[in-house]
Amino acid sequence: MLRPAVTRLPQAHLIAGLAAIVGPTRVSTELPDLVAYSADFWPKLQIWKLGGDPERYPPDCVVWPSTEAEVQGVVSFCAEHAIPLIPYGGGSGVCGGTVPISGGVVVDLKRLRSIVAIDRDSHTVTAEGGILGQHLEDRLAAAGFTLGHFPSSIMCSTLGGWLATRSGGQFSSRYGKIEDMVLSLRVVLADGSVLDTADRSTGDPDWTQLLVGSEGTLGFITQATLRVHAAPASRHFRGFKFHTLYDGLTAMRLVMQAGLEPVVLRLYDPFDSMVALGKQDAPGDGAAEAHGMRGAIERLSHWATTRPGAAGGFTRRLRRAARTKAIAAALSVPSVVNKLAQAVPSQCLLIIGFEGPDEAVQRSAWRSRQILLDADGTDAGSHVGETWLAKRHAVSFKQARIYQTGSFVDTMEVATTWDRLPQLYESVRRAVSPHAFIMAHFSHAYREGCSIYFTFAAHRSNAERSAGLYDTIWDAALLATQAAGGTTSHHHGVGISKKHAMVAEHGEMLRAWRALKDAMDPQGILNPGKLFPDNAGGGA
Amino acid sequence: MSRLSPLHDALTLCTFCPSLCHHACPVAAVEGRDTVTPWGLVSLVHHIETGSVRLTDDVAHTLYRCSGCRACTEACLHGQDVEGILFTARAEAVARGRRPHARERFQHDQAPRDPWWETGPARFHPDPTVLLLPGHRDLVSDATAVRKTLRLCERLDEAELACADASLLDVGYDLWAAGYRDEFALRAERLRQAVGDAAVVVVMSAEALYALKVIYPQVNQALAAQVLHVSDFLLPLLSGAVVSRVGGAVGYHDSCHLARHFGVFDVPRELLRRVLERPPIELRQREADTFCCGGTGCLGITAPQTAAAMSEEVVQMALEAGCERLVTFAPECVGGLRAAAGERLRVDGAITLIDEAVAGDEA
Repeated sequence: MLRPAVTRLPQAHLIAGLAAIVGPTRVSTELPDLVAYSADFWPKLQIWKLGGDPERYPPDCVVWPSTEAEVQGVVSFCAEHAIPLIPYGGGSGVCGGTVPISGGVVVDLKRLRSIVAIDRDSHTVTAEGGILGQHLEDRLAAAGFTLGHFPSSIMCSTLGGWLATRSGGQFSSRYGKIEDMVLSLRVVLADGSVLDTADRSTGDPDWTQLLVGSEGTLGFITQATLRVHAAPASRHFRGFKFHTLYDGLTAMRLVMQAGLEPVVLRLYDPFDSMVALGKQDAPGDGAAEAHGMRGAIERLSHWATTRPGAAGGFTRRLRRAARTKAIAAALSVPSVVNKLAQAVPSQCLLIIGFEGPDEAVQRSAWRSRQILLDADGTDAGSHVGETWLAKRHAVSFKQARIYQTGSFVDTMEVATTWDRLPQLYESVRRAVSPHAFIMAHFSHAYREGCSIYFTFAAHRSNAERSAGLYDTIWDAALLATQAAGGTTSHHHGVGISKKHAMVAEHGEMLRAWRALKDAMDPQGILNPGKLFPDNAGGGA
Repeated sequence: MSRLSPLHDALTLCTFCPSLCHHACPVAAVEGRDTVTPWGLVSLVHHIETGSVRLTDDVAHTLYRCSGCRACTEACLHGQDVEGILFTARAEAVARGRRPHARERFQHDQAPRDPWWETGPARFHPDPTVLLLPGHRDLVSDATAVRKTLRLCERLDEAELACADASLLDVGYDLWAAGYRDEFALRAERLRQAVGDAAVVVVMSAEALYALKVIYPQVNQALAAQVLHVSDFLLPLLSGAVVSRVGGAVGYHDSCHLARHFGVFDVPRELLRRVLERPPIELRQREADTFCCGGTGCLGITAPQTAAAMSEEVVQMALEAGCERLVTFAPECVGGLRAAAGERLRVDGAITLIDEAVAGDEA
């Protein structure tokens, strides 16, 4: 059961068979392609890459079908020969979801990039699965609509990838996650047939939702129909500050439970607030260099070393780190940096934003302001909110700078109900603090709960040790999450990195999953080794 | 030391970025292939530089799948010079003897089929003050646009612009883009000497303009003359000129070099406004966001199918916008767009359009 095939056709036969389906120029075994498709943006693979191993999990080959019929052909061919298939969208995932750990054929779907229809009456869009998110949103904007889905990866991720991983965007508090937007899917199943979930009555089991989030383990998403919204006439973004994190969390809950529908409602913990506030006056590329986590650690160091009574070996080391702008040195003492971060007298920044018809936006903005002020918030002004909106993607550009400092960085997004949020936050911080610097913000707020987005950074030594440290951090973080009643994932998906935690999270239901997987993919050829552990390929 | 060593930090910056410029890359858009995104290509160079990947002919071949259009640079918060990195990597490949494309393919020495000073207005001067330098192989081999430019000067009472022997020279942009740096330097020296004492050089090709203004100084062959694009030269001449405005639905395609390398959006549009019955139609992607048609960066030589697909994208945008005719001020864009458009859309150099308006029935 669920045993991915490991036998291979002779390569020449594999290439000839696939070339007959997609054409000879759309199949490759060339080294540059194998390198490019051997990894996604799972940070553990970046660690290996930095250690001189850019091709740790190469596929046998890569294919680029242009039509759904070609996808069917590729899948049928591979099914006939029991060859693993890895559906591939933008390759922007951070959990290893598209890594060909069992080899096989990577099927890049980005040539399926058409917008099939924008239905102006029904407010829906039908698009092929390989379209890049930014291209989809640009085309919708030109037609006067928005999907309302703005993940920070929008520039480099695809519609199919969003659906496969239950992606969430920055405006999810109003528009929901991708699973709330999708109406139907066309999916190429493991036998090469096509399932169109729009053909099924809505009164039946919801096949769309069964397939959303399956991370390529049940089929290839070739097309989707989603609801869209009229482009907003007006936007209002504003910043507030809170003395404590818990004051801010209470305020967030009250806003959501008052029936208001902010597109954005996010709260930064004290240290992440320093990072976020650092962006407020950061021009252009300076944001990436002088601000962000690096700048915040310098500010933290300055505070630690100039406050009355500051002394001691650790603070001296930190001062040296700041002086040389060597973030890696600071990260070599994560416990100290974390303790300082907890003690730093920084307020917590909250960003709230509304969009829609002008009158409704103004009404909601006024009402939410009253709630936030009543909850002991201080109005930091609209410029804080507008700056966040303008620079909200800047943080993604900073990742590479962290790697340049001799560190590695990753993020973990978990969620729970409001009553458990403080405990979840504290538990994960405690668990990770000995190993990595950690900060967080609370975003994707809903009436019943919220997601916590942890960022952790750690000192990088050689690849082997760093990969070990990486695993230690994740094991500690996921155990703490489960103990505190949090979910394993909120919107990044599971991939390889969290699949073992899925066993504990889903318990007995794992049997149901395996029965489903056996029924839909009896040979276990679809994206083996992802989402849940199977009998092979789990050791990445 | 390898040419790549000084690029180490820049290479790292791209390699460990999650490909945030992916959406901007026209090559990646038409190929759907992560390998040829700016991230994929620069990562490859990074792996070559660190020794993780060996620079073979096959690997070198991949480095040529970029048009140098700078859409990625525009999208990057760090302003990464991907074009510069890849062209340098090509030069490194050439220096190491990895030459997937022979030098002769980029060295354009062909003579014109019909020297334009023999068949057009008599504007040849051995040592002109204002030199017309088409600068691009297509113009040198097919002199229609050159003749029209000279005829425009006649009708607009411009007396100084003239051709010289230098006018027959390609500026060598393709040699530079392909990594043949030594050959490019020789071409640049030859052209600089041929330009002689001209006070002004009027260039018709946008990529040639970039070569003369930006690359020539890098190889110590900066021209002493002022270098102008033909659109800048013509704009004042058209002031007060009697024109017979051209009708129809005419769209304008911004060339990458004019729009992104030089930030020139207004002058071409102003020229078109002066000769068209109604303002030029704007494409969905325009100005700094223009979609590269694949006409530059020697992509048409190294990856012709990809370049053709990129032209098709631009043609589709023009058709979507309701254009019956598409014009551009970069001759390097014209051939590919025309081939892609076929019968669906008329594609011209903007000089042809202006010539129609100024020359009227004689055009």
